[in-house]
Amino acid sequence: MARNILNFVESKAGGVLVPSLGADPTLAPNVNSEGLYINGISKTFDRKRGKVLDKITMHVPKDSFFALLGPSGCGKSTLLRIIAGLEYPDEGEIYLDGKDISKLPAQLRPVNTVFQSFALFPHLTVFENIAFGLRAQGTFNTSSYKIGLIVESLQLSGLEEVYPDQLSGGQQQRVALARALVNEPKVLLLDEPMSHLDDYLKCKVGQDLRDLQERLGTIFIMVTHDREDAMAISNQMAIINKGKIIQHDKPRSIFSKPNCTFVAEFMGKANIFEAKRTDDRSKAFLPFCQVGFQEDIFWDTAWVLINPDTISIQDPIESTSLEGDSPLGTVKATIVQVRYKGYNVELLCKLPNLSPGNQGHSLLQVLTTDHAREWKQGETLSLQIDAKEMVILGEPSSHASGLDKAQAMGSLLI
Amino acid sequence: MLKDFFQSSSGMRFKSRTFTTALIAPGLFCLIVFLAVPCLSLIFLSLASKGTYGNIEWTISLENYKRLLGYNLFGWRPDFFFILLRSLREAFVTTVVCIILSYPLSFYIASRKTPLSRFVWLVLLTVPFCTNLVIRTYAWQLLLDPQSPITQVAAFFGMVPKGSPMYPGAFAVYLGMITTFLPFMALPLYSSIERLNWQLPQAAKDLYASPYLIFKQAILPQTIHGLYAGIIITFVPAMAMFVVTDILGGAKYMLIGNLIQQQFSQARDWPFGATLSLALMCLTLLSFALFRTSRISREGGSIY
Repeated sequence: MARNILNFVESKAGGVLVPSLGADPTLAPNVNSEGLYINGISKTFDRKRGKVLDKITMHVPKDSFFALLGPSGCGKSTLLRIIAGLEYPDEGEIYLDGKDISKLPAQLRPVNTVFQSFALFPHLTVFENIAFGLRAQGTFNTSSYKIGLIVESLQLSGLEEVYPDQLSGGQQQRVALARALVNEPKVLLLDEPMSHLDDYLKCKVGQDLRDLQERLGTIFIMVTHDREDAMAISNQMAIINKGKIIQHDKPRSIFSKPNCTFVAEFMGKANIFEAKRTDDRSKAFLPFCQVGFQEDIFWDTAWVLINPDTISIQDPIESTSLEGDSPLGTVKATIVQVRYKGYNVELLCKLPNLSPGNQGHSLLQVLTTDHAREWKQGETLSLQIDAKEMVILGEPSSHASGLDKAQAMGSLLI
Repeated sequence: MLKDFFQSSSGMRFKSRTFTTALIAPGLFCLIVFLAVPCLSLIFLSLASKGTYGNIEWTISLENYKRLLGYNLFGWRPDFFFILLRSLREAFVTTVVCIILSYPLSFYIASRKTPLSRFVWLVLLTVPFCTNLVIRTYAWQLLLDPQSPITQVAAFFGMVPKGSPMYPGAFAVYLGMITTFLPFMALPLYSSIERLNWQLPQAAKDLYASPYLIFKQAILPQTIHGLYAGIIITFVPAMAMFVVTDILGGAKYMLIGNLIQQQFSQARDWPFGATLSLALMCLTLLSFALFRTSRISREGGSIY
């Protein structure tokens, strides 16, 4: 709990967001760190529309598969293009293993890109596409053997003399990947690598990409707007919105402990409610019940996230005996909808005392793995909310835009 | 049942076929009347000969072709070859210069941000067409006059003697030709550059390509169709051009276009004019056959 609040205070103060990997602060990443260090990058295309990127600072450590995640138009693709050298920043530098590469043209950076629509040369065969970089560098004669190796390892054997338009989407992507990797870049950039693939291929390509990254040790940076792709493949993740990094952490931490309502919403979270502190420093009112914390809390009102798998369902018999004054964190809710989702069951519950004018979500989402029980619509449950597991997202005033979205989503859920 | 099915389907096919025929008939009619018939009559005409008073005598002979190859009463003279070669060179240089000028021009217009500014530039490019070619070409005479600022600047740098005009001559002809044909090359190129997939040049850049390689592998293949169209509509009329050479080239500057025009007007030798026209057509088709098999064409052709 205390740690969450600390995170929250830190991000509000506008400090540099570094992954909280539990590292010693004296070892904080800087321009000389190994890997890619992005230092205060800003970019404006159109004065009227404001900054596309606003002082982005982050460190992508060696051997990481990094996902840049954000809604469309958040600036993530621009950041990727700046790293590639296809666009130059207005201010800030990019350091690769301690060397400033931000003034170099794209041709001189040890960085290669897999473009969203693959951008294969349609008039060249698969072999010539893969050989393009080596030929352009003039190293084709000495390193053409690499083409054979990469063709083999990406299962493109036999397709060397085929033209790109005769290939399937998955094959085209592997060619684009081979064309970039044959140059042995230090950083590989992937622009929405999954957007052209169907679900089955997505899963396979995701595995392959991760495998490849682990084998080569190259830094992979992937831009995506799909949180599931990002979480499944990457081992480092940054959420970007409106040109700023909102949260940078391991995918698992971002999912379970988002640092604001925007990230929570973006990670597909339900159960965002407004909490008000009571006169007692260790208790807070949720719109439908009171919860007690183990330590004192420092905020007056805050947005809180209740992860749906942390809500426990109490025995119906036990709950009926507890009429009258309900204990802390206990709420009676009626099931509105039951959704079977394979490994678990999602219950959407209507809460008492939750007026429609209330901001935040209007239904409580509960996840349970109890398949033995027959969940019925209209059934009343007694739920136990654990304050220890609650995530504090921030004060309402500081995340006004997130609130609108929360409200919109709340109305969708009804 | 089955019979009905077949009958109706064949009926449908018949109907659709007559409909298609009806649609293409007007175009086909125009092609036959205005292209095939004149071509055939040119061939027949070239086999006839000129009468004493400029009339056509239908005595079939290959006399005109012999004359074209340079044989006349006084032995063999290769004048016509030189005129043909000069026309070929003229059209070739005009086309190449137009290509070189059109690429940056089209890129510039295509990179304008608002549709309005693109429209204004395209209008500026096409507005000379509103004036008759002859008048436009005479305007160059004024601009290349000894008194015009252009000529005075050229004279200052010693490019022409003081007080003399910059025409007639090869420079004036090329200037007239290039300004006439620039829009013919720039417009089709613009239409293909406007639809350019910019990810390909970027991918090439990302893969360490030099500017030359980026153009050759990522831009040229994408604009090759516009380039083809531009080359055809520039090269063919440039081969047959006679107005510009007539006005800016002077009496000594003769191209095949001028020669043909002379045969049909002053010389009143229609059969030989027809022979020259056929020679021009064959030369143009031959140039395109050569172009189609050239390297640039093959690289572009395998794309689509």
